[in-house]
Amino acid sequence: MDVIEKDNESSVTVKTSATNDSDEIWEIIDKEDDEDLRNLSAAVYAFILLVIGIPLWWRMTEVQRHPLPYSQISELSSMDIVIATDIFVFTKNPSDTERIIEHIYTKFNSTMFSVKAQTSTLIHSDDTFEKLETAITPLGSLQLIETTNVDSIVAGLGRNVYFPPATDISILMDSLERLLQTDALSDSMISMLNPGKHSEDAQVVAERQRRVRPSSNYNVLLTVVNPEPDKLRVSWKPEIPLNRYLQPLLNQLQLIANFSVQSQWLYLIDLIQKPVNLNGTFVLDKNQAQYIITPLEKKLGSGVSRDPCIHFVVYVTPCSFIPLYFHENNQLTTAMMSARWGGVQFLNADQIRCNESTESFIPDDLSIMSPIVTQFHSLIGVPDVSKYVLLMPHRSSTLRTWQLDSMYRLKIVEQYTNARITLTSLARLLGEISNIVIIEEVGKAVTESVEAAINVLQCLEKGQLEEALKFSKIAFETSEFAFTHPSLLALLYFPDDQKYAVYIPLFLPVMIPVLMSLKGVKKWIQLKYKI
Amino acid sequence: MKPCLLLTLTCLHFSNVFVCQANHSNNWAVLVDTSRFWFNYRHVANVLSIYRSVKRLGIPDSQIILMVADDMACNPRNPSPATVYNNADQQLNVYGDDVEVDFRGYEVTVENFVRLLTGRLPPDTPRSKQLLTDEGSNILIYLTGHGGDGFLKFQDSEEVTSQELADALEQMWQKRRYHEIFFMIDTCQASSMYEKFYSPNILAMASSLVGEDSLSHHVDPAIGVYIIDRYTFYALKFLENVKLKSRISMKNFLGVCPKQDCISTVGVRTDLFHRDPAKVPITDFFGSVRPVELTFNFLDISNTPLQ
Repeated sequence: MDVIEKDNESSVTVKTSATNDSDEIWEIIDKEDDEDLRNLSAAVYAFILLVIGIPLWWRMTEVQRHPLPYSQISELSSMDIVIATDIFVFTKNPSDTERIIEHIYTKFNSTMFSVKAQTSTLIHSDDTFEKLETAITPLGSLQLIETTNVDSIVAGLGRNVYFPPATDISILMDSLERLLQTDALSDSMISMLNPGKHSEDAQVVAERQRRVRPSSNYNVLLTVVNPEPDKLRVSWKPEIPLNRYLQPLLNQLQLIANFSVQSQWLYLIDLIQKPVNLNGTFVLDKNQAQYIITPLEKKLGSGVSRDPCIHFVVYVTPCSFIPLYFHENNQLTTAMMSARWGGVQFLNADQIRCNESTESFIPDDLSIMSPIVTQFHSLIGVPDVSKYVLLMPHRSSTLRTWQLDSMYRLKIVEQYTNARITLTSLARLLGEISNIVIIEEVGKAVTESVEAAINVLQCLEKGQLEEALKFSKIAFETSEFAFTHPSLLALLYFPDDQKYAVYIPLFLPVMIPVLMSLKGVKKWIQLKYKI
Repeated sequence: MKPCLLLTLTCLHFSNVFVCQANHSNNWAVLVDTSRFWFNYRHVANVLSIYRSVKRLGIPDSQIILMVADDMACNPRNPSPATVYNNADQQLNVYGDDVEVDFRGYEVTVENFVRLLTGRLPPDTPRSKQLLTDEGSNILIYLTGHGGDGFLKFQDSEEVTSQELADALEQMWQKRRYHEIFFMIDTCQASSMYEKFYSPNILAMASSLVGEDSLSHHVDPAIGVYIIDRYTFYALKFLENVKLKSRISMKNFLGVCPKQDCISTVGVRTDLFHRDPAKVPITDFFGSVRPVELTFNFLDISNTPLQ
C-alpha cells in the first residue's frame, strides 16, 4: 500500500516540477532517487514478509506441544505390578510349616503377589488367644496360625488367620487367596485396561460394578425423608449417629480419600410406587424397588459438588403403609442398595405415634446406622469374604486391619491403572489428533504423574503400601488434571482446512504485490550493480 | 393351547431382555439444538420434546444436559409467550414450567459442546454444565439443527465436523467416559455425521442419508412457521407409547419413520454396537432404571469405638 501511495506522490511532484525548466536536472535526480527508494522499500517489504513474517507466522500458528515422556509412558504398559507381601506361618510342627510355605510359593507364583513366606517368630506356642490377637505384624502381611481354639479357618481382627490342626492345605490356600483378593485385583485391572473383559467369578465382578468410581474426594449425603410431617413427627438428629458410627470408619480411610458428610431433611416426597399388602405387612418387591430411586434422586440435590456422591436415604414410612419392607424370594428387609449410587431404607414408626401428634417418634440410631454402614462398606469396595472364611466378630463399623490392607491394595491398583490408561491414551491421542495443545503446565503434570506411577511400582515391590498409596493418588490426580485440562482443546475446533480458509484470504492480497515487485527489484539490482 | 405357548415364548424372550439390562449403572442425556432465529422454531420444539420424553421416562434433570441456542418462548414473534408447541393442536406446551436449560443462547458453541463431551471444562464450571459420566454410563446424544455433508452448523456462524465429533467420542471412550452411546441426529444429510465414528459401543441413527434433506412436518398457522421436523415427530409418537416398565427394544425404535412418513431415508449404524438392538430395551437409553439389590445381612456395629 505504502509503495503505491508514494508512487502517486512522486507523480504529483513530477507534474508540478515539469512546469519549471530549471528544475529539470533535479527531476532526473529525483526520479533516480525515487526508483532507488521504491525498489529498496519493496526489497525491505519482501524481506520482512518472507524472512521474518512467514517463519514467525509458522511458529505462532504451530500447535504448542510441550515434550512429554513418551518412552516412559510406553514403558508403563510393559511393567507389571508386583506386590511384595510377607506371610508368616506358625504351626506346632516345623515340617507342617515347611509344607505350608511350599504350597504358598506354588499358589502365588503366577499372581500379582511376590510372596515371601517364612516361619513366624512373632509369637510363641503358649500364647493365649487374646495375646495372639494383639501380635504386631508389618503392614500388608498376614500371619497363619495353627491353633486348637478354632474349628475352621477364622480371620482375626488384626492380620492373623487361624486354622485348626489338620486343615486341608488346599482349603487354607483358597482362603488365603480370598483374603489377599488376588482375583479382585486382577479383575479390577483387566476390566479397566480392556473394557468387556472381566473375571469369571460373578461375585468379584458384582463387587467391582458396585464400587463408586475412583476419586480422591467423596460426598456422603444422608437424607431423611418424612413424607407426612403433618401426621408424624420424627425427632432425630442424624449428625449424632453419623459422628458416632460412620466417622471412626472415615478416619480409618483418610489415606484413601476425603469424605465430606452432610445430612438433610426433606418433606412431602411421595414414593410413587404403591406397596402391596401382604397379610398386614406392606411390601415393595425388587422390581418395584428399582423404580423408586429415580423419582427420589430428582429431589436429593446432588448438584453441590463435582465429586462423586454416595447417597443414603432414610424414608419414613407413611402412616397408611406401616410396616413397609422390601421383598425378594420371601425374605423381607428394610434396606436396599444401588450400585455406585447409595442406599435406601424404610424407617417404620410405631403405629401409635401416627395419630398422637403430641409425641414425636424417636428412631433407634443403631438400627438406622447398621444398614448404612453395611452398604457403605460395599460401595467403597470392602471385600466380602464371609462366604469363604469365617470372620471373628468385630462389632464395629471400622475395618479389620487385614481388610484395610486389602482396601489399600485395591485402591493402589485402581488408581495406578487409571493413571496408566489416562497417560497412554493421552500419548496415543496426541498421535491421532494433531490439534491437541500441550502447554507447559500440562506437560509438567504428565511428567509428575509418570514419575509417581513408576514410584508406585517401586514401593509395591518393597511392600510399602502406604507410600505406594500416596504415590498412586498423586499419579491419579495429576493424570486426571492433565487429561481434562481445558487448554487441551484450545485448537480442537480450529482444524487445518479452517486455518487455510482464514489465512489465505487475509495474506494472499498482501503477498501478491510484494511477490510481483520482486521481479522489479531484481532488475533494479542488476542495473545498479551492472551484473 | 397355541396362544398359551406363544405367551410363554414371549415371556422367555422378555426375560432375556431383562438379563441384559443390568450392564450400565446410570443414564445421561445430551440434547442439543444448534440453530437460532425464529424460522428455526421447529428445532427448539424438537429438542424440548425429546427432553420431555427422557425426563418422563426417569432421567433426572441433573443428568440431562440441555443446550438450546435460542429462546423461542420469549421471542417477540411468539403469539403466545412462554410456550413452545410441537403440534398444531397445541395440546402440549413442551416448554412447560420445569425446563432446565443448561447451555442457552450464545453459550451453545462447538467449543462448549466438545468441552462438555470430553470433560475439559474450566475448573469453575457448575456441576449442572458437566457431563460427569463414568464407564458405567449410557448416554443419549440428540442433535438437531442445520447441517450438510460432514458438518452440523452451530449458531449460524460455526460448525462441528463429523471428524471432530468422532474424535471427541474417541476421547470419551479412551477416558472410559461411557458404557454405550445412542447417537440420534435430525438434520439434513444427517448420516454423514456418524460415518466417521470409530469408537466402540455406539449405536447411531440419523434422519436422512447423505444427499437427502430432512423435512419438517407441519406448520402451525397461528405461529406461522414449521413447528416440528418429520423424523422427530414420528420418533416422539413412538416414545409417547413407551412406559418406564414397557419392554420395547431399540430395534423397534430404529424402525421409526419409514420412508413414506419421513420422505427422507432414516439411516442406522449398528456395526460399532456389540449388542443385538433387538435385545436392548429402549429404557437403556431413554429412561433411567438403576440396578438395585436388597441388603439382607447388616453388620453389627454396636461396639464401634468412641473417638
